[in-house]
Amino acid sequence: MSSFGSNKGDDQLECPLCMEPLEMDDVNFFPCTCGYQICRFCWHRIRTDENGLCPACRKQYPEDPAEFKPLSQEELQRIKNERKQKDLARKQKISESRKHLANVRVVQKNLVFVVGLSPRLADPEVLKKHEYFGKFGKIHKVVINNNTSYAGAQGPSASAYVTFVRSEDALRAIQTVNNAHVDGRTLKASLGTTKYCSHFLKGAQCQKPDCMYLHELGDEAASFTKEDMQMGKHQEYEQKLLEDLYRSQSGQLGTAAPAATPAVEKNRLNNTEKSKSNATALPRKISPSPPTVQPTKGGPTKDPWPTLQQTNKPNDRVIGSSANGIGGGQQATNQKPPDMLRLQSDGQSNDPFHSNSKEILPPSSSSPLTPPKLGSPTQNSTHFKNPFEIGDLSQSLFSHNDFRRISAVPPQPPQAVVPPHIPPIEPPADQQGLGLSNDSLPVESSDTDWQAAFGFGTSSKQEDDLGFDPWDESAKALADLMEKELKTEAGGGRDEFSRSRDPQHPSMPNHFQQHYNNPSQLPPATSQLPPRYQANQAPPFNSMAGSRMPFMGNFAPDAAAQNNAPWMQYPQHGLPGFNPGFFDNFGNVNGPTLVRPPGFGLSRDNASMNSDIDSKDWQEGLRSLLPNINIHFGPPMPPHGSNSPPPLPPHQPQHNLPPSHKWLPSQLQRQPPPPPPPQPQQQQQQQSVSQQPPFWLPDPAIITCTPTNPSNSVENSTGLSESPPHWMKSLQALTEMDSPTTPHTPFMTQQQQQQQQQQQQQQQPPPHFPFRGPTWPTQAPPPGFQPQNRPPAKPTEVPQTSSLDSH
Amino acid sequence: MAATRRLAKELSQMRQNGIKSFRDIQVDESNMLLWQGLIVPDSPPYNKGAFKIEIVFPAEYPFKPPRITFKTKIYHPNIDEKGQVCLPIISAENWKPATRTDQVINALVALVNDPEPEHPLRGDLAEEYTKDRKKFLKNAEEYTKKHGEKRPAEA
Repeated sequence: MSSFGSNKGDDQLECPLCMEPLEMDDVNFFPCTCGYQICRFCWHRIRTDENGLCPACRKQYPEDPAEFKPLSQEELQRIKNERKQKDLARKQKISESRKHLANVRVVQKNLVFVVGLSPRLADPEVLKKHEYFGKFGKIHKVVINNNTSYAGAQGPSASAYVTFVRSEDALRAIQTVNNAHVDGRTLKASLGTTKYCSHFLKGAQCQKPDCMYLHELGDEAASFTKEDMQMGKHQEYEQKLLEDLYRSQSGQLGTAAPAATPAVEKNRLNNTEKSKSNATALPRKISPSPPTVQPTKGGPTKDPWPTLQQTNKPNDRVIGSSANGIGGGQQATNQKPPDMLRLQSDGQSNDPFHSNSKEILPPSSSSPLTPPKLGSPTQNSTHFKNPFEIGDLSQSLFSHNDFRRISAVPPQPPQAVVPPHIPPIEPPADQQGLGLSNDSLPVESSDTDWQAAFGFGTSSKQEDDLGFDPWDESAKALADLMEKELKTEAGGGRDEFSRSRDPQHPSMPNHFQQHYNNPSQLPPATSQLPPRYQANQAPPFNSMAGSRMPFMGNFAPDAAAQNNAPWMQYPQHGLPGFNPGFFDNFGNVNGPTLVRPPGFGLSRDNASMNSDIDSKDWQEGLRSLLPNINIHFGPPMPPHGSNSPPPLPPHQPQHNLPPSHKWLPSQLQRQPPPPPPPQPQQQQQQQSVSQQPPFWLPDPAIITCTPTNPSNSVENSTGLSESPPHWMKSLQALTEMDSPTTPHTPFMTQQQQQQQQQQQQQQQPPPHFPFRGPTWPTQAPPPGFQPQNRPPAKPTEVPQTSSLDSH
Repeated sequence: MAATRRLAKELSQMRQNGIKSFRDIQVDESNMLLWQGLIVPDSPPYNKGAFKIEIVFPAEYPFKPPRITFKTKIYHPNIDEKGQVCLPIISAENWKPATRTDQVINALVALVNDPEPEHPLRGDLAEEYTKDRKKFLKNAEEYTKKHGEKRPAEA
């Protein structure tokens, strides 16, 4: 048959039946007189299992093979040599054809190349944490290059190749991390390239089990020669991928936004109900803060890491603020807002929101960021506004829907935002209920910044897991800060702030403390926080980071008041991220206090209005709490506890820290700058947030009311109060009016959820700080829920406002 | 698995060489034991259409022959209403493991083009084919136009 011939024609003889290559001793094996050659395996099978006929001529196979001459040793050797030569020739042929590939680098869609890592981050295990690249998705491998040649002007920096399992995760990580500031360094992230494995180029089998080099031809479109790369062609390719991702994200955002808004509304309607929704709201809140951060940073993507930087910056700012007093506080607030903004922006960049974040970021982000650094008061105001706007945007990006929804309401909040620094807060607050919520949302964004930066949606969940540990650490740091704050506490102003803040969360004080401590402690705290946050990705950490940042800003002079509001927002954000309910509570609490001082108070009021029912309960709780701040919150928490209780217990320790952080970041960054623009955004965000829990919306408002938050934060961080004097005053007035009621209510809702479980639920303020901290952490876990959290944060603000209104 | 290994080799060779009368070979990579394709006869009355067939290989292939069934109705003395074909080369008694699928296909195409009324599966058609060729051709052509598949464009 023709088939026989074809088989013989092959380079390597193989059995025509089983197509297995003939063994060497089969080469001369011809079982049938017709000369049809098969392997002895098939021959044996035909004779035993089949009909025993020759597969070709159908003659009965004889007992012994018709022709079988075992190969001689010489023949065997000859055949072996021939095969070796053939193998060699084949490999040479392949290596010849692949020679040109040695200079080719293939862009890997799932490989992120990061430059500018501080020694602290130059550890695969650190980068894998949820606070960092773990946020974006499952990581296959991290390779650190400690060669500092990439450092440039930033000092010794390491670079890393982070291989994600999914290419989308890698792109999101790039969006978030690129240009982010961490540990004083600007991170640059891009898609990494890989070269071909030397074994592959030689046509040989690579024996390395985990060889990361290429062993097969890469996509032509992703392959670039060194010359191409010098011309930046590979960057064009990466840009294209990122744009595709933006498009897909924008689509997702659009869909997500609607859902978020409903959640916000729900939150507003049912504060208590939304323990879950709050959790989701918290993330959303966080997201809002990130937006603010973005503006400051000017780059959404940078925010994620910037959050880390922000933490550092916040510390610096905090120091400055504490030293400068009110004026410093303003600067600090300004600075903080940027940080927050960065954080938020990070979150935005991380989330699908990138597109949104970008939009938002460009306007406000750039100005806020730079101004904060400048430390000019005027900048602060603008920054705050920007942050808010940004925050809203960022929120929309992160929590997307929530923030956007809030932003829709926010139009009013923006107004509030502007005033916030000054006074109009309350009046606007009523009008700005939504706006306030928006503000609060920005705050949330601050919290979310971390989350967003490192883990957008998923990260929040991760954060939950991590949250506890990070919180503990943060709690320790907070405890130190608290001590410092206590020493530094100026008194009344702080007290007021602390009161307002207290209701929000014990964390507020911590934040203040952190801020105060920041000068000295800031670096560590921030550094710790970021990791923690990242690692936790839990809302608490995020909130902590965010709060710290805001606090820093708060400490700054004038900004303090404004900052406070932003801080409040931040805390709220953080809270939302961790525990939607907590955030809401904080936001509410903050909202009242914060709102009053900056004018955000108005927005807060509005927020409180939104969450009237809850706010009332909250108010009562807050009132009771207000006295001791923390206590106040505690009490409210119980009532609202239904929402937040579950998360609280684990986070309690952390809550202390987180609250403060949350407060600071949210208030400082988000509230002050964001107030005007942010408010609208926040409102939208809040709306979205409110969907989850109305309180969240209030929280945003509260956040916008930064003053309240600051006050709370100040109270929490007695030391912080010094910087917030302006805030304190405004906040005090506001807080007195609103904070007691509204703050309580918000806290109640948020804290209740978290704290109820915790001790704070009992409405015992002092202890509540820790509890709050824990709550924050718990909230932090929600970070996974961040999108939801953000919305909740807005709702929380609303509750606060509502509480204010009720009062 | 011997069957899969051999079938993969046969399939690649068939696709490489191409068989004019057997087109659109579809094989699921996860199940090499099931082939589908289009018989495109070039003689009247079956050259007015194409016929979808299915080739099922046993796991013991090539030691056991494949089975072929027509999925398209055809007016043919050697192919019954169920699509079963009487093809000596793949009958259990005559099967030779050395036979390759392209040879089987060629045998099948030859059978379609030139019916063997002496070994019919449908006696009535065999009788008509032998006694009234004109009528048979007319009926077969109409049947082909009515039920046959669209002939793929000439490669």
